[in-house]
Amino acid sequence: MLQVASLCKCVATTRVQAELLRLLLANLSVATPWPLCENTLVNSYLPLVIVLALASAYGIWWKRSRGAIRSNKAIPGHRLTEAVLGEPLGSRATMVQFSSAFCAPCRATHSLLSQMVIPMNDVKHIHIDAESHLELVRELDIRSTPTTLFINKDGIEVGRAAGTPKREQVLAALDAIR
Amino acid sequence: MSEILEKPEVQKIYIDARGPRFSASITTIVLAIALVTQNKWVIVAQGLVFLIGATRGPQFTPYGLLFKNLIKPRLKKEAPTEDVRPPKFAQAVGFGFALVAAIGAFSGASTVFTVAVGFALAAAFLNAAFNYCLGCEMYLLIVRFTSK
Repeated sequence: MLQVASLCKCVATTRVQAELLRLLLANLSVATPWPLCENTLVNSYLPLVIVLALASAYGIWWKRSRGAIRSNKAIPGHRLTEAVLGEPLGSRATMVQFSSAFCAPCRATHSLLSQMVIPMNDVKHIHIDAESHLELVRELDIRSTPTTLFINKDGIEVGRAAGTPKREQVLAALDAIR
Repeated sequence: MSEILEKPEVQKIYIDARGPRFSASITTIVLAIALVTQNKWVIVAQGLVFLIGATRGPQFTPYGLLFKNLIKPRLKKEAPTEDVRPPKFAQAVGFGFALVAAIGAFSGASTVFTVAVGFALAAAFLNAAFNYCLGCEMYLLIVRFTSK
């Protein structure tokens, strides 16, 4: 009983509040055998529960969306050309990876993609430094690194992936470009 | 290796990539305690930890040192390394939140305190639980908005 009482112990935000409450109860002749429990447990833990719940939901969504190829972010009518990219496109498809010097997943993505294109003679991997191509980054609305654009032979974006994609996701995206 | 990832003018320091994640777990617990107890000294202490991490590097914080001396020797796998700068940036962001929270706490603005600690906790938790790289997500947006 004492433990419950201490858990529910009134951690009044001001002593004045506690005093007023005591006076009120005394005047109402209400006998309270236990200290008034003002749901302070809830008050104390509610912000924590809310933060962790929201952060978890966001974290789960973010984790799932990493590497997933999204085809709804392409800018209509926008074409990436050799002139813009500084290198010729692949004869069937090109993976244009935007990186910054400030990001560990960019390194992993670069390793994966550059390795994957070695046996592919119709697909190229082009690596762009986001910071020195800010105009392009703004045109394409690239918000984080690594972002990899999957484009066809005409320079039209078919899909893009934020974060490090998995091998299967890359293969599936490339297969879809005919 | 592409020169984009290896800008030569910056001297690069690499740290064990598991260290910052371990530190983020400790930070999550400390910030949770700060949030529940509404204790301003807990956030001051964590703010100092963030400051060390942001200026000297996360490997020099108490949590980083704990990882290096106690946890790391017990780990068998080969250490994956990472550039120290993204975790350093994350510590700087944490320090920003802790500073706002401390100002809120010492001036009696408990809502400011709760919200600021809440954000810092969310960031630490995301890093610890999901390996969320705050630097990677924010950095390009910052560069986009601050350059012409």
